[in-house]
Amino acid sequence: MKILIADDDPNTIDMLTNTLEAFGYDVTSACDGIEASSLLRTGDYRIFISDWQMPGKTGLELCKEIRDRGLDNYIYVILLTSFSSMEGVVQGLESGADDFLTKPFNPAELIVRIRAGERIISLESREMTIFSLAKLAESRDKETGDHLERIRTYVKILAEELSKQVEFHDIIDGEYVKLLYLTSPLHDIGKVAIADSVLLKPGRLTTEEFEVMKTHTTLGAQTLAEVATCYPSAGYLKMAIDIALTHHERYDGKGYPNRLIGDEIPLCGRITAVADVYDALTSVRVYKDAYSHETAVEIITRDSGTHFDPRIVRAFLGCQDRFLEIKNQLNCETSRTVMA
Amino acid sequence: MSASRKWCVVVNFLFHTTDSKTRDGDSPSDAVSISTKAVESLLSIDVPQLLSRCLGNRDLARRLIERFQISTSELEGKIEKALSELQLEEVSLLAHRLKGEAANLGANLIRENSASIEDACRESQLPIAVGALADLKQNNKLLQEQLPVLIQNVATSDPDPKLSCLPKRQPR
Repeated sequence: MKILIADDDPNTIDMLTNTLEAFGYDVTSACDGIEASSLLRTGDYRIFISDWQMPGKTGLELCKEIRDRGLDNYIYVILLTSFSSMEGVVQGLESGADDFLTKPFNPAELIVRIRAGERIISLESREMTIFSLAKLAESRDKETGDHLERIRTYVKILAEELSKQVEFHDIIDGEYVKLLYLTSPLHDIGKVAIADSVLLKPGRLTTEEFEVMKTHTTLGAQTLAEVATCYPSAGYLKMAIDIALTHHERYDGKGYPNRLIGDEIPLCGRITAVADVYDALTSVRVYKDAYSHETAVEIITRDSGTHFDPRIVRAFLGCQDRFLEIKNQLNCETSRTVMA
Repeated sequence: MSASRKWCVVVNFLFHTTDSKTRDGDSPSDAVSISTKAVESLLSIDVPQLLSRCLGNRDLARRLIERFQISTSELEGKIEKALSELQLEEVSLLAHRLKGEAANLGANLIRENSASIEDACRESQLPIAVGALADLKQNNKLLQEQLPVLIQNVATSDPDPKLSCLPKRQPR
């Protein structure tokens, strides 16, 4: 992680640099506001520690400049100051600073504040990376429109509804819902490896072609598992793998790829299955028109206990109005004849 | 008695006491340890604290003290000039800068004097600012006098354990 420090006091720069380098950070320093401003424009720095009062531009002015530019990559700003008044804190936060460090700084405090900044930056990068990957996979199949946006919203609604059921209290909390929202768009990531002749074929697939299509579950899970091996700290990939692998399993054990039965199927896979089928039914496909919301509800209710976990279908029925709202908001090309 | 005079008297006393203790049978290292602790408490800069902030890097601590000694004199001169010209806003900015530098070094008396000058100028309390400047000049004189001892202390003191608790390093 590259960090930029701006301070007109060389002693402060040396002390900060000494601590940050000891913890493995790559540090650059600027001795005034003008130099800092020009270094920030390179886009190389995600964390910026700035003195409040400096010649050229003050820390506050630099903060405003960074936020006004609305950069794609968020820069985490820590203001270094001898002020300790509430007025100073408010002024700093209003100008766009994320945190403060008061002189004299404590090395331990500096490091934990930097780590807090890193966590925020990594969350932003993580979400962007995951969604871009999923969009890349989706881009091969243009007909699905805002499928990913809808899926992640559907699974979030379902999980929140399920968490009201006593037996899911301890499993589904805010963090679980967030992870599900984050990783569910990766459910079809394996489709990037499916040939166009199969993926984009108008009309029904032959048995052989369907066998090929089914491999998108294992291919997606394998790819994500390889990424997880390289980044063992990325715990959220475990859920992404489960979803990619199991969202076509059926509650009665007749699904694919592993014919898992009932609770053998991870909960995230069972939730995504309902959301995915609802979206497939209510969207136009190359081989079919869109079904109405009512028909989709009817089909999902009919398949409770066979295709779907009955508890999740119950939750779905409890929040189906919100599904309809999302379907209408994130238009899924229902302009073609809606099938009754 | 001025701060620098007090310092001279105390140092003479300490060296005398150290000699007596050694002669009376205490080990020389005990005596040195006692005197080191006592001298540390009288220094213009809290060296153990500074060493902790430098993560035990003694070369860096020495360089910072030498640079601070020069910077303090420069800023003191600028503050005196600006104060004589009644440029209170400028005095306030200079004092603010010295306050920050002193705080990081652990030069507590100089930090307090700078803070008093800064506050007095913000509130246009000229007599208070003049009085605080006089204190600053005395404490700066003490800093200049103590430089050899401070440098020696950097080589012998231990970092302040209260500031030495660091988070674990993470693999990058």
